[in-house]
Amino acid sequence: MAEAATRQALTPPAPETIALCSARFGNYEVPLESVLHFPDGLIGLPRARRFALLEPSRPEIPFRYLVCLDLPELGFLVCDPEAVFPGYAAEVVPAGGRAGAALLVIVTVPENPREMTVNLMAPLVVDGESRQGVQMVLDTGRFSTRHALLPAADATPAAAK
Amino acid sequence: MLILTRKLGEVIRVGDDVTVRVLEVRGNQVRLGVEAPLTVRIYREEVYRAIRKENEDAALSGASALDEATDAWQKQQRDKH
Repeated sequence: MAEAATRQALTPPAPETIALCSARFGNYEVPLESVLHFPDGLIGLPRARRFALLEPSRPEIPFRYLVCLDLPELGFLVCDPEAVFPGYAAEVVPAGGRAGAALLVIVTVPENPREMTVNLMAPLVVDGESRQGVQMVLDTGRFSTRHALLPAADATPAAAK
Repeated sequence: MLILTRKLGEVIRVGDDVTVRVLEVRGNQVRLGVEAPLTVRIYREEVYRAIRKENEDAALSGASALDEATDAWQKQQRDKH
């Protein structure tokens, strides 16, 4: 009896990962503790509730994929807004964002990638501790859903200075 | 569609937790005050639609979006220096 109990105690715990099998983004084992939970989903996508942020292959690049674990072919290119718009977080917090929460903005890449935009009106706000997130809406007129990420393509380097 | 007529200051209640009060009527503009629990998200319709469309467009960015964005970003960083 005692021996059986010991053996049971030594049984390794169930693997604490979720398998992501996506034709689009690849296959990953996502540790449970790194799953991001959006209880309300994203706007227009109420079923997209659990996400994984894939590690960037090149850390110096501000872009990463945020892939949905509920709808594995659904994913977004996201970026750290501070890398492209310093000071953005400071404007989001007084508008209702939580201090200390992580911010991501969704990137839309059109046919011409130089014209890619970020959605500054509806950032993703994720609490670092609970890993719960929400797509916040900054309906202040200050931010657009299509803010150009790069300076205008026709701006010459001289004009940019 | 349920259609109700309300006077200035009057209220419509939606379920147990949500009220909509007519605060001001001026020309073709109406100001409404909505009270609802924090879990009920309230948007102006055009804002909701714009964000939903942007989410859809962003989701359609091909699986090559990361590479394309990275190339464009790096080229711009090089041009800056």
